[in-house]
Amino acid sequence: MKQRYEALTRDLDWEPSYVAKSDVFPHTEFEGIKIHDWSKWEDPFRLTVDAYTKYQAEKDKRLYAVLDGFAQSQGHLTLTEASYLNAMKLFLQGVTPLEYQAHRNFAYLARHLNGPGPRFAALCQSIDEMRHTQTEIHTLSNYNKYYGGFHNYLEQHDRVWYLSVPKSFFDDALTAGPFEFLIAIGFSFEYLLTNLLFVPFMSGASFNGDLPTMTFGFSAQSDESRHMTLGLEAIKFLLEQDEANVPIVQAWIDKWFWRGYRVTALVAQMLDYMLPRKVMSWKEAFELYFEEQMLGGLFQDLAFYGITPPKHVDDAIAEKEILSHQVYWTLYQFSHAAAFTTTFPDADAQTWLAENYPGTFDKLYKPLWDKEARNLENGGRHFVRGLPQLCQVCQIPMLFTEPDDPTTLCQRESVHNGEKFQTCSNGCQWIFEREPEKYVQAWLPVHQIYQGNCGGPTVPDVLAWYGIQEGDGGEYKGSVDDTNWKSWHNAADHSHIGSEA
Amino acid sequence: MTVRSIGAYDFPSRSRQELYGDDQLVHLWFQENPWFCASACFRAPKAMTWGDFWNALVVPFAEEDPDFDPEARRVFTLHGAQFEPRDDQTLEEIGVEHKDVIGMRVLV
Amino acid sequence: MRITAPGRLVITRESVEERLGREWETHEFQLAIVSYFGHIKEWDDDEIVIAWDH
Repeated sequence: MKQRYEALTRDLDWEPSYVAKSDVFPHTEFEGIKIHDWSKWEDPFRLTVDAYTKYQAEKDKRLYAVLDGFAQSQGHLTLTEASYLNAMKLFLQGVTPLEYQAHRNFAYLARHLNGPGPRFAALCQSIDEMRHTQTEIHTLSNYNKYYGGFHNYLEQHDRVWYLSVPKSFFDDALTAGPFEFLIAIGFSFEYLLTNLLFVPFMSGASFNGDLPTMTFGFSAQSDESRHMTLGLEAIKFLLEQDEANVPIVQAWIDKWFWRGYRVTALVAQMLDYMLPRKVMSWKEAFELYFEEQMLGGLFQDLAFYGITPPKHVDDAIAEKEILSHQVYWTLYQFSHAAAFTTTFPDADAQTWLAENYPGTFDKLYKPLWDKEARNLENGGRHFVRGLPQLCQVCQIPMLFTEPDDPTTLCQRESVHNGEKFQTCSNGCQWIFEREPEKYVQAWLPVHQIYQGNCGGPTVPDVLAWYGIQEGDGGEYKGSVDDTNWKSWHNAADHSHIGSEA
Repeated sequence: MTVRSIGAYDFPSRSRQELYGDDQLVHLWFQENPWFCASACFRAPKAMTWGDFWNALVVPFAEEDPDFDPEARRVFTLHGAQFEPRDDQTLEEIGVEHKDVIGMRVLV
Repeated sequence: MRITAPGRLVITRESVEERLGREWETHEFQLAIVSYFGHIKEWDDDEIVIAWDH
C-alpha cells in the first residue's frame, strides 16, 4: 500500500526547471505561513486513484439501491410526520450548496498547494464533496414530488435571509487564502464541528423513518473520516513546520470556531423543536460532540504545540441551555418568510423540553409559549410584521443574549471609517474588528431589501423574488403539507397520493 | 490587524448611508420584552418627525404584541443616554444617525 | 454501534478476516465507518491505528 501510494501520487510530482516555483504556486506565501518541507505531510490513508474510485463506486451503489426501494414503496408515507421534512428542507437549502462550494475550493487547493501529498488529498475531497452534493440532491428530490420547500433551494441559498447565514460563512472561507481555508473548513468545520453538525441530522433521519437521508448521511460521513484526517494533518503540519505559524493558526482557530459554531445554531433548534421524534437534546449533543470529544480530547493533544481552546468557547458553553429556544422562537415568528414551516410546540414537546432543560425552559421560554397559546386562542399567530436587526458577521438576527444574562439581548457596536456596525456577541465583534475591511462588504438581507435589491418593498414582492410559493412556509398546521399528509393517511383509497386533488 | 491579501484590498461598505439617499436605517430595541426576538430595523427619512416615526413605523410593528400599549410610559435611550422625544422633532434633530440603536423600555 | 477505547484503538486485518471468514482489505473499513473521533495515525495493508500523537 505504502509503495503504491508513493509511486502513484508523490512520485508523479516534479521540480519545475524553467519556471520559478513561486510562479507555479503563487498563493502560498501571502498569508505569512512558512513551510520548509512539503514532503513532511503525512497522509495515513495512502489512497490511490484506483482504490478511491473502487470504494466510492461501491458506496454509491449501496445508496442508490436504498433510494430506489424507498421511492418504489412510497416510503415517504412511513415518515413520522410531514413536519419532520422541515429539517430536510433546511438541510437542502442550507447545507447542500455548501458541499458544492467545498468541492470548488478543494479543487483550488488541489491545484495550488505545493506538495503532491496534500494536493492529492484535496483532490479526493473535492470529488467527495461533489458526490455529496449530488447524492443529497438525488435523495431529497424524491420528496420534492410530494412536499413544499424543496423546489428552489439553489436560488434561495443565494437570496433568502436565513440562508445567508451558512452562505456567508462559506463565502468568508472561500475568499480567504489556501491555508486559512484549510483551517476554516478542513479543520474547524470538518473536524471540530462535523459530528455536531451532521450526526444530529442523520440520527434525526433514522429516528423519523427517513431511510434515504440516513443512508446518504452515513455514505457521506464515511468520506468524512478522510476529511477529518486531512483537517487534522493540515493543522499538525502547519504547526510542526515553523513556530511562527502557531499564532496565525491559533487566530484562525479562534475565528473559525466561532463562525462555524454560529451556523450550528440552526442544528440546535432542529434537534430540539423540528423533529417530531426526538433523538437527543442540543445540550446533550454539544456536551458529547464538542465538550467531551473536542475540548476533552483534541485540544489536549494540540496543547503540545501551544494551541489553546478557541477564544470564545466559554460563551458557547454558557449558552448551551438557551440557544435552541432563542433560535426557534425567532424562526417561529419569521417562518412566513421562509421555505419551511414552524408550529407551536405541543404539550408533549414542552414536557420534553422542560425535562431536558430543567434550568431554563420553564423559567424563560414557557412563559413566551403560554402567551402565544393565548394569542392563538384569540385568533392570532405570532408573525413579525417587519425586519430584524442582523449581525454584521454571522448575519443571524440579533437574537442572542448577554453571556451572563439570558433576558438581555447582546448588542455590540464597532465603528469603521465613521460607520457603525453591530454584532451579536463578543465572538462576532472580535471577528469584525480583526478584519473590518472584509465584513463591511457583507450582503445583509435586511439592508438589501431596504435598498430595493430584493424584488420590491413588500413582503409578497420579496417572497416572489425568493421563489417561495404558497405551501412552502408559514404555520405547519393547516399547511399544504399537513393537509396532504392527513388526506393520504386517512383515505382508504391511496391511488391519489402525490396528485394535487 | 487587517486582511492579508494578494493585492490591494479596499472596498466600500455595502450598507453605507449614501445607498439610502435621504433615508437611514434605524434600529429599535424592545428592552425587557422577549416577545420580539431581536431589535427591529426600519428605513426612515432623516427628516421624519418622531411622531411620524412612532405612528407610521413603530406602532404597526409593535401592535403585533397582544400586550402592546401605545400610551404606556417609556424610557428611550440613544448613545448610552436617556432622551425624551417630542413628536415634532425630526430623527436628525434628536441625534439619530445611520444604523443607530434606540433602546425602548416600558416603565412599570 | 459505538466503539470507544482509551488512548489507542487498533483494527487488524487478521482479526477482521477471522470474524468475517473471508479476505478483507483495510480500505473496506471506509464502507463501514459512519463517524469517528480521534486521530488516524496509521492505515496500511495490515492494520488501522487510531491514537493521539501527544
